Amino acid sequence: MWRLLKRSLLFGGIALSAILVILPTMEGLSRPGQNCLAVFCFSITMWITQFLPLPVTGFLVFALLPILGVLPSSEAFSLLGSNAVFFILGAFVIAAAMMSSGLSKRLALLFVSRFDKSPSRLLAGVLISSAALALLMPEHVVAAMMFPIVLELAQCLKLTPRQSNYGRVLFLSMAYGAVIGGVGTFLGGARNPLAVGMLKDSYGIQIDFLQWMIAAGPFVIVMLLLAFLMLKLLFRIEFVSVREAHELLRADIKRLGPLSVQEKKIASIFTLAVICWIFFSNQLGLATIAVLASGALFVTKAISWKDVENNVNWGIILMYGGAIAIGVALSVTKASDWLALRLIAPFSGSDFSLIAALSLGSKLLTEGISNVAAVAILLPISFGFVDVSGLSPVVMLYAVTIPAGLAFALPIGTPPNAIAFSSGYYSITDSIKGGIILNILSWLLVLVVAKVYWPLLKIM
Amino acid sequence: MKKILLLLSNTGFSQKTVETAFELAKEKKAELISCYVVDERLPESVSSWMIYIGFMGDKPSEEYRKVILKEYRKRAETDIEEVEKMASREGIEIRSFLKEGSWAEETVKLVEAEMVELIVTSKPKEGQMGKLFFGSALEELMKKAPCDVRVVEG
Repeated sequence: MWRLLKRSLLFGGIALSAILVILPTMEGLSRPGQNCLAVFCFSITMWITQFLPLPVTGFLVFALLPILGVLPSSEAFSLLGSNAVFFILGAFVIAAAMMSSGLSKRLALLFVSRFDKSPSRLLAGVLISSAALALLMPEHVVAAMMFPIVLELAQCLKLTPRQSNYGRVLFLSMAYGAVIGGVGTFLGGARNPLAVGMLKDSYGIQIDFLQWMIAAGPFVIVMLLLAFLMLKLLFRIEFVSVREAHELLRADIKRLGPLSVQEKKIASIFTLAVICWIFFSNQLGLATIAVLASGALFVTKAISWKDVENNVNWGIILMYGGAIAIGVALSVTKASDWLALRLIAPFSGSDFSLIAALSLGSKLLTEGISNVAAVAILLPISFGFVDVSGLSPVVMLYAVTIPAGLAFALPIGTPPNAIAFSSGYYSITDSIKGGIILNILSWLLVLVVAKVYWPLLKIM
Repeated sequence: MKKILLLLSNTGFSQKTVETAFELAKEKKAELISCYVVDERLPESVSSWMIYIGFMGDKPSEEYRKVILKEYRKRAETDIEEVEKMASREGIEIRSFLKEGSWAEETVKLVEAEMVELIVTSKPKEGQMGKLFFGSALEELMKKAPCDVRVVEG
């Protein structure tokens, strides 16, 4: 059934793209605008069906835009060199250094071991540790790194897969923590700097590291609390003695030995980079700091190129580049305005209901496809409303990007969910039950924050 | 002599299935074989999906795959041991196999090599949603198996 649906979407999407190129120009659209919609439709089709890997779709966008006369080739290709792409590149190098040196594992163990006094505290520890680490490095890296630790905890506590509720909540909390933490900074989810890059390239507005953290902060804090309460109420935890877990964590930390020189170098460079991102990103630029920090890791021999190659999948950079290029092309050709007016405007009333509709659309989309793709699809459309509504593009950015990171229900929603699910400790039904509740709560939180908190920050 | 295969997997262990296989082996005076296939579909699809969509490098994906398969193997050994203990209590002789790969394909290979006449297995606890996203291993087995398959529910 899933395959049939994907196949229908694939053929339907390709056919629609071809029709848009062949058809005479529609009212309100220029020829480049209509062709840009065809490229957009093609990209959406590929991102949703994943007929082509995401990076290949991004790569093709650079060729399709000039061929169809949407952007001159020099302009289209130059968008791959955007600040956001270089920031993501630098952040990936830093994350690779933390992983290959074992610093990330040490941090994870230290975080979790602070909470190993009771079952509830250990559960909170896994949730908070995943979230805290996802503020510092990509959420999928956090999930892959936390996975063996949580698995070891489950084994040592003798939790039976699919029978133990405590086993269920431990793995779900690992996934939820990584997902929630990923919305908090530019480092957790690469979709965040991608969206900020699209905003900068379309409107010349720059959101810095601290501004993002302040705007997204309530989501991390409130969602962590809600996730913890929901897990405890939905899955009644059986009595478990966590003494063995305490001993296991201590033994694991002891086995790591003292902090190595390499770890100290990486920790120092990373700390310095975070300070610069928070306080000097306006003067120095986010990407410049990321690239300098990556360079410093090589100069101090804290990491080798091989470590980076082994840990980073460079292809994704093309996906980000392609998404930025198509976002800019939609804005330049005014195709995004056309799309916004025709597609969503008839269903939206006030500015607030527009935010509600966009954030809901983002949440629904992100459960089925990669959250980066969800942002790449919805953000250019939402920018189309800027001219027709009184809303700032910054609000559109937050209303689409933050919910796009909060996918809780399905294993295919985001890598942390898929990794946690493969443990076999919980079923898809468990995942959907908890996920639906958190999805509703997080959507309501977007609405509350948009109504109450963002106006205080003068974002609206 | 007739051979019955008690087929186990990491999608769920069912006491009822084991008991059914024991009863059938006694009733038909058949030799009982048990096989646990560590189904690599899920970790394979998760790690290859993460590489495919471009999220993760080869090393962390490979490390993740190794960790989860090690865990599945450990569970397999525990379940096989449990079945052997149960068989010994019942006075039934049993030969056990531990295999890795595609649940349906590995089973068919063993069935052909051992000339098995009946497979007894549980209904995987994947549910309808699991089937939707990851396909049904049981349906694949039913299609490919060269002998009868008895699916025990519960």
